[in-house]
Amino acid sequence: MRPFEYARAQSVEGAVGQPGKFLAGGTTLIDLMKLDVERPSHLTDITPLRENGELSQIVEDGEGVRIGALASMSQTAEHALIAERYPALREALLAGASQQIRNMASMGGNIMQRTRCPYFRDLAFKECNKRDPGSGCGAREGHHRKMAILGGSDQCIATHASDASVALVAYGASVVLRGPDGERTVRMEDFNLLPGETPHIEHDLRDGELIVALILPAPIARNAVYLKVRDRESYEFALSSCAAVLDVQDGKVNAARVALGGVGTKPWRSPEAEAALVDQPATRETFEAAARAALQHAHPLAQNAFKVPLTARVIVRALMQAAGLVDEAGNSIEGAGA
Amino acid sequence: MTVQKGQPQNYVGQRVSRVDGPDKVRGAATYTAEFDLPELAHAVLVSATIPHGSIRSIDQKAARAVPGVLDILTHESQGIELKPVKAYPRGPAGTSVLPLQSPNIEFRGQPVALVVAESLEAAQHAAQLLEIEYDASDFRATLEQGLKGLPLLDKLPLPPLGHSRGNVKKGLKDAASTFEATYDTPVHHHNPLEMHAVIAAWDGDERVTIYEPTQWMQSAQHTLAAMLGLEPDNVHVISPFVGGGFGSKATTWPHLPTVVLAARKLGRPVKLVLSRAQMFAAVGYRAATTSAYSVGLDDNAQFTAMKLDAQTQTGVSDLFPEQVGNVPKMLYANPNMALNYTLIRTHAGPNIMMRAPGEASGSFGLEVLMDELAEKAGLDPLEFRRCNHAPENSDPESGKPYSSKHLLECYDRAAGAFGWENRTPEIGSMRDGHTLIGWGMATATYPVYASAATARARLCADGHVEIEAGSHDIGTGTYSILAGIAADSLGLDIGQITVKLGDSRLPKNGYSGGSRTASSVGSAVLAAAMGLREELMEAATHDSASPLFGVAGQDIHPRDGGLYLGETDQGEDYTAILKRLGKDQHEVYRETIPHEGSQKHLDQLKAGKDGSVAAVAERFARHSWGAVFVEVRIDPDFMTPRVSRVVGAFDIGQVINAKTAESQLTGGMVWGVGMALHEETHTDARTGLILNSNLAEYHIPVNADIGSVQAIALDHPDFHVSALGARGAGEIGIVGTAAAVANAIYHATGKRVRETPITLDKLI
Repeated sequence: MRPFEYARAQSVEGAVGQPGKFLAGGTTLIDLMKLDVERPSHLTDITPLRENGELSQIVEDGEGVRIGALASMSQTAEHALIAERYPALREALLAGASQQIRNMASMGGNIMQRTRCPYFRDLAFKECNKRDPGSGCGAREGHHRKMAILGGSDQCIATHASDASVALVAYGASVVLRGPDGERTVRMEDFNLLPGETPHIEHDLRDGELIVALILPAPIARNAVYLKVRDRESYEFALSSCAAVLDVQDGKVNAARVALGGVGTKPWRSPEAEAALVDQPATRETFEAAARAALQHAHPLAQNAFKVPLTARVIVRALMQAAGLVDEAGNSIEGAGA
Repeated sequence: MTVQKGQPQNYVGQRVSRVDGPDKVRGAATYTAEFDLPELAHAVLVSATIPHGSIRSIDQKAARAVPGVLDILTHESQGIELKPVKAYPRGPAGTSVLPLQSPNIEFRGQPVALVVAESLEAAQHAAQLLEIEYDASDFRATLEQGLKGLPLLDKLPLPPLGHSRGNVKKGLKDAASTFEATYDTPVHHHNPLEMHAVIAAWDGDERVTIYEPTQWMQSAQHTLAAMLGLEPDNVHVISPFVGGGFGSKATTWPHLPTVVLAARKLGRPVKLVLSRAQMFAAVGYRAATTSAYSVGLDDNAQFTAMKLDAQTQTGVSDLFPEQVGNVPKMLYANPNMALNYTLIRTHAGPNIMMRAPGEASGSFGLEVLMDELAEKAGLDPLEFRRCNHAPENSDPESGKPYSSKHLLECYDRAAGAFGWENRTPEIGSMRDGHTLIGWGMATATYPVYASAATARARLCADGHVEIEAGSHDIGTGTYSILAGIAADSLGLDIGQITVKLGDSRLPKNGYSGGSRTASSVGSAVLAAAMGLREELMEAATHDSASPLFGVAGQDIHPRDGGLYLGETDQGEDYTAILKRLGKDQHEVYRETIPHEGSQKHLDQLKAGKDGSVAAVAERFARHSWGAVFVEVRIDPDFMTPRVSRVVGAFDIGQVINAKTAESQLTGGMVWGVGMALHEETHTDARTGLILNSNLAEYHIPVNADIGSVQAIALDHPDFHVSALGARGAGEIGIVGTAAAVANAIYHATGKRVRETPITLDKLI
């Protein structure tokens, strides 16, 4: 690891505007510093700000809930407000990482989590536009089984790694940022950027800005599912995942939110799928149409082509579960109209 | 467990908890990286980032400017010459490629520099600042690329590996039906939890002490002696605890001499701990394999012929064959067999043995093939194997009788415990609601390697007994196993036994691999402990001051810390005998030659070789046996295979410690599940570099992937192998398990996947 200046933040005001990076749980940043991928000149350790309730508490906020940026993943998953109102966020959090990492990792850090693309994480690979703009993309012509099928560009097809961000996007969450010029709020969907021609710029985050909170608006429905499919049963990133929030009245979809993980270069909200659901009967046929809509612009390569049919199945199953038509094992639920 | 005092077999065969368990739990068991020495300097190894070519330049300026940097060793350094060595199996080194002796690179991850500093942090920082320029050459980094490129190695400078018997052409021609299929396994890396580590400390110019986690202390002694021109006995190796090895710690890798050179150059001890990524670099791997079969069956579904053409990869300079034919050539009755190997050179570096080398990879193809043939013959997979069972009196490979074979009992026991009779044969016919269920099985076998061994037993004045053996506990329970053998031999509580291992100055022993340590070193400990008992008995019965004076030896029982006449109180403590001998301690040293071995094997051991008798010995073919049954559950929407249940029954001879043996068998089966579903080293075709050199992306099962695993050990001592009747438990658990999983997946889904790992994208 390269030497860096280290300071412990005494206040939010003191932290905002500091050069370098903010250090919270460190589960991504320290890892990448050891790998020499991240080379911050300064680290401002914001964990002392946990004393400041604004940054660590989870509280009601109007009709919604405000999650302090320093709340840990496990604290958030276990919070009654989250469990009751945002079950897909709870499930997404518990499906991510390991208990030890969830205890350390902060919610603000989770949404800043960087990709697991091996070409990005290992300096032995010279081609990575995200790490070294203009150097090329090793994955496109190389190993890309786990890479994104949505939102990629010629420059980058690295998959966004976070599970929680997928649920946050589905629930329409916003990020509260405090910077030298004051506070602003950005929708999660806009906070994460597509790689385009600038894959090294991943977030709408200005110099010196600190994430202070995540705001969840009132959920559109209680019925919600986070479904994650992966190569092993735990401690593994998604091959494909879906956060689905579904408001079904009298067998008809009133409102729907669909977001995908493991397949996009950012947490992938699918307005196409949502449009295909609203005002339609809550049936498998409708859900299959939504899956087709979500994937109509998918751009798979040879090794990750399986993610297209897999993701279609993940979407359908998540919606079937959210609609109460099947249980977690995929068994039809007796008496459920379908 | 409860200990009944006075019974001769209080420990052997029982479930005995690890005697070193409390120390391990408390962190009091010292592993290599935890040793500290005065003036210790810290090293970081720098690995090549190309698979083939040469170093054009190394700019050390920025690295040397880091405060605390003491030295940087590269091929340009002076005074670090090494003499050539031979790589395993011809010599004890892991590779003949010498570190830092030339600018040439012949494999990815080859060591190119060692940075030494006052602190680990300074060394790590400086290592990142080293600017190395390469001239890259064409490369073949994988078996697939090797098949297209580098010259093949079909004439091996090793004993011939192939095998042939009968007339395969005729056998195939006479068959009622024939079948061909090819099975592939990928590169695997051992990844023991404990990283490779070294501390080297010189005492003058001729003596060096090495702290190293190793499965073979004599490998380090003899490799360093050859490289540096030292006397092997002047290389003192200390290795009290090993956090797993699985073959990667059996031989000496290039980082070891690199650290030894740095310590000599600096005149102070140096420590190196490899990074996890470097566990994928220059410490061996299981080679990728391709097994192409042609087989014939007669009208009774019995083999008429089997032809196996195997292609496996190896390094550029070294030859280690991954012998996928080990199991196919002997497991089933078959008069006509032809086994041919082609080794393919690759720039992936030197490969080495990894838990059941050849047997794990080779049994995947064979046992999936058996499942395919059973289906074609219209037979239950278990029935088909019974139909081709090789009789106890005739090993198909050698024609010799087996030392002991209870494979049919393994089939019965495991099938019964699993409930195999409830299997319905049709594909996808077993469901739990939406979930697909599949049941599959496979046969397991593993050869016996038995080595010459030496041990010392010493009675101390306070009545406790020290057992000394220059062997290793690689996490398998050697301390506990040897303590149990000694305690039973002497009628002592296990708490009165202290076992000393992991020091090359202790009585010499061979390599802890091939599932041999419990039976081989255990036999020497048995001999030493029994020798101690006999000498003390001799002293007592010939001493008129002893209550046992004149008592016949066969009437004397060792118990309660001494010797007694039958179950009576007539007798005395060992300490009383020792006191009258006028000694502080009494010790007995014994050397044992394995059954069907000779003085030659003992001489080999003392010369630093493994002193091992082959599985097919003069009189008997010696193998362990097993049967593994697996249940998979698959969500048909996603085709995610998950193993819910494994039952294995194993005929491994006498079980010495039922608890540690169960751990070995269970761990082997868990690894087999990982081999089936998860494990694969991914190589980037364009750069030849490894993509998943970390434990987040190199998948092995986590707890959530493992359901119920039941290991049943049969109880048939094999006294044709060792005085203990033990054969070994370490490796057989992984053999066959991967195929059983693949066969279960086929039963659930109808998808026949002839390669591992079987990930959902191959099923969807």
